[in-house]
Amino acid sequence: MLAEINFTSIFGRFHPALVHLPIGILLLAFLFELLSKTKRYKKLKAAVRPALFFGTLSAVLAAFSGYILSNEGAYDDELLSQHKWMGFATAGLAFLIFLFSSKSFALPKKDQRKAVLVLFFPLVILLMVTGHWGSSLTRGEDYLFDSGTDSLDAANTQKIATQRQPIENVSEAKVYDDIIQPLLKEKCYACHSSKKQKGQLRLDEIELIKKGGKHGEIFTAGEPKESEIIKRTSLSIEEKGHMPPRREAQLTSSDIELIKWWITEGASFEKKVKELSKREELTNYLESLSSTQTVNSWLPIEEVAVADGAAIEELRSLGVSIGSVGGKSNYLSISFAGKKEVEQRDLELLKILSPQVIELNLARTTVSDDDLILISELKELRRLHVEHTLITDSGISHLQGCNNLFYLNLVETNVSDEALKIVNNIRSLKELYLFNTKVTKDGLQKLNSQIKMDTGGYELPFLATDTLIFGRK
Amino acid sequence: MNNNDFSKLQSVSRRYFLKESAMGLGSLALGSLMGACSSNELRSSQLLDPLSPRPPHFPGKAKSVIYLHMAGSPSQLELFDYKPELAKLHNQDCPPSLLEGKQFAFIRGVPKMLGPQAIFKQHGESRAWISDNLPHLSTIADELSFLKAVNTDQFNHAPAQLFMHTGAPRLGRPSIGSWATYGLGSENSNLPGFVVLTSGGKTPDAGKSVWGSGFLPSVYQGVQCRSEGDPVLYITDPDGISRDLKKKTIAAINDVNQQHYEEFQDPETLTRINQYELAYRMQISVPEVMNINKEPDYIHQLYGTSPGKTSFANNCLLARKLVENGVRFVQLFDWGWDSHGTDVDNALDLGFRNKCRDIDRSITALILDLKQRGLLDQTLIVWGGEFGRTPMQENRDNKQMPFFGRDHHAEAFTMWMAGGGIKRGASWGETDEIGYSAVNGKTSVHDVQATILNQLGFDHEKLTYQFQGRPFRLTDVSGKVISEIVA
Repeated sequence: MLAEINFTSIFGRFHPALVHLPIGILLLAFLFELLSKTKRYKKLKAAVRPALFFGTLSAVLAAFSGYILSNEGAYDDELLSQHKWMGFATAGLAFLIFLFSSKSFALPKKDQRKAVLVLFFPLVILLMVTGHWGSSLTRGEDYLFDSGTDSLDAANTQKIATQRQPIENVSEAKVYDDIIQPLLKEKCYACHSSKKQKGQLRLDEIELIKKGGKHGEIFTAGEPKESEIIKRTSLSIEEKGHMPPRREAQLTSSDIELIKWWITEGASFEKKVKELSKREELTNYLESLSSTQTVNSWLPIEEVAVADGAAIEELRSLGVSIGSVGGKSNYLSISFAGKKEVEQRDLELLKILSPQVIELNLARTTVSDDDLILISELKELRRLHVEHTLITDSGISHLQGCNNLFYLNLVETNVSDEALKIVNNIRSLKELYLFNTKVTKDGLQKLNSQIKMDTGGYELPFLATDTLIFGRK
Repeated sequence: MNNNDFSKLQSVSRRYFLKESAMGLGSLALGSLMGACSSNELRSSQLLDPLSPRPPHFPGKAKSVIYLHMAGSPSQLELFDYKPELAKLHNQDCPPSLLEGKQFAFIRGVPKMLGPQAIFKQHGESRAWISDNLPHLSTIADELSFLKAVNTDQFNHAPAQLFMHTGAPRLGRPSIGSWATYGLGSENSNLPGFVVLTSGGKTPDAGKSVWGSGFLPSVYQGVQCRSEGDPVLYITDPDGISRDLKKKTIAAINDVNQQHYEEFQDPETLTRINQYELAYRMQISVPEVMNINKEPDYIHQLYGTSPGKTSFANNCLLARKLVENGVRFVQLFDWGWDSHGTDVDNALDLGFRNKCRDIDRSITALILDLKQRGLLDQTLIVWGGEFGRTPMQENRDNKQMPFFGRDHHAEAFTMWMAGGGIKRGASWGETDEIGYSAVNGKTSVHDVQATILNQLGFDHEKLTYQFQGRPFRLTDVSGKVISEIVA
């Protein structure tokens, strides 16, 4: 490792520290120059020249280190070149002022002092502007006027908006079109697409991906270790050049593993998953892409109008727990966990909230079969808990119209095979819990296969070790 | 002018006005000074009913958490982290490279290496390594997601427990259950939002601070319930006080409070009224949910419970009942996992196995029971200790120990999570061939906390509370959601 240390590049890394010196010292020199015009601080005149000397020296060092650092890349080109030339100009101008302040200079003394003062003003402006571009480079262009919290919120909403669509049959899916491209879209397009081309790189078209960016091609088929895209994404987040940038959504290690696999297998833009050789580590990841499993996929994609506030307040005062499902969503999750009786008024209020209710917990309440007639009017309902109630098949028959119902919990109710026939017609249903019901094996056989159901009744065998006590006689 | 108005006007005399103005200005000044210590940033609805349900930052996958803490810290090397290389080194001197610059709680001089004191096998489709100490849990290996390289920076019990539960090794921070109830409120207005159950004979070394509310309002602190006798101390009415009389008493107190509120409009008065009513409701609901006698026999057999005693099994069953009834955060502490090898009870091949037997069936039962009730997907289960144990055999005071035991080890240990939107059968992180330190997938205590909050729907960086002039959060200034185990 030691042999690999490159001292010039280390000097480059000092740039962020060095830049503060010329800003401070040159501003101080300017201040001395101004103050020396007053009677009281006349003596400061003598300090201007040494300050200018050290200021210029540090400016030159800062510019030089900055130049070395700029060759390492990883920055926005346009901003970088602006910052670079401003920096050189600053160092140059500082040197010029230093020359003018010299005693051995050819101009008459009075003109000399005037020139120094006049040149100081553009120098100060240059210092400010260079500093600003520098901070824009490292902190992002909108850093100065960014309130901080908003960008996080934006990132969150974006996260929800660009959620990947589940793939129906993963082994038939195209590796690039169906898996890699959506990943790039989610995590890279913000800076590398038609919108922005940081590092002159675009990832939104196959030809442009092959072309690469400012630093050349981003991948070498079959050679993941040589591929820039793998190198950059695998760097630790603190390191320079790490992609995606610190403040953006990061690739997971499985995401990187996926891209590696694709490159190892020749980086084909045409092949299907089944045509590439299998990779154990990725089995889970690939399966998760088909997931109807992701627990959150039941949430509606489109937002809904704000719910009736008066109805919410009244339900709350009746002892019902009611709140948004999360974030700024207007969809509601309602629970009767703290209220055992389901009364007529509750149901009427629920009906008012029908466009928003997507989750309803009526477990362990007095909810009756007839009450479910009203429940069936909650057209958006996704999750319904009616476990430990007196619900029977006739109650379930009212749920037929619930076309969004995803999760139905019937544990410890009096439902039987009849209910399964009805439930079979709810196309959206994915999860069904039937522990301690009157459902029979025959009934279950007719159950739609896309419904994941659980009849429970788990037992743990008694093992000899269950009662074995060690060490005591 | 009626009598009431007159008395109101009378109360606003010149003297009263001057007195109140002076007091008012004074208290304004004091308020801004004190604001630095405790600023109440709760929204008004939260002030009136601090446990009212509130939305998380984004729709969470878990609605509640059951955190199983094995106080004393079980040995990962006898349970989940299989190290055949360590067996080969058994009884050899520990190489100096593992000791240089390290600090241990008890190990002095040069200890011997200690091979795994259990037989390991791979289980389930996930091929997870689990030892024969947990024969029941092995059967549901595919439900669990392991973190094999968790790292802490504390090697003594109390600070490590505080770190694990409050995000800081010193006293004074709110516990994770308090943060969760502060963020989400409670789904059931008749029960506390955060319940703590202990077993194993002792409470955790760090005391009640591991479920304290720190600088959050005290309503969010964990309520310790007992599985023997009254679930909460003084919850039953004293002899001779009927429920009816109690109701009348509380109604009378609240009438006075209501008048006070109408006169001064202080929202804190409303909070107090609510508290009285909540306490009254809890007198009925808490004993009801804390009663396991009514559970059917097959459930008792599944969990291995024996009603009326304090046991980890009983606490597991109670945890399920609490979660079923809308409690947000259930914290179980089981004491007795500090396997130093100083006596039979904490020998890795003896007492430790008894502890394993006590949790094996009941934890497995808890997961299966939640599953058959359709609640596993919305209940996050977390298992772990406060740190791990050394691959070396403990040599307290540089002497041979009477039994096999291991010292405290902060560098790398195993935790697992299940349900609540966690992947099934995943494993993240790896230790070196003797299980001393992480070689990849190292995770920190703050990462674990960030992940728990993430499952509940919180961005751990945004769940903050203003205190002493700055926003505080559970994960301090670090923490990253462990996306590798999140489904």
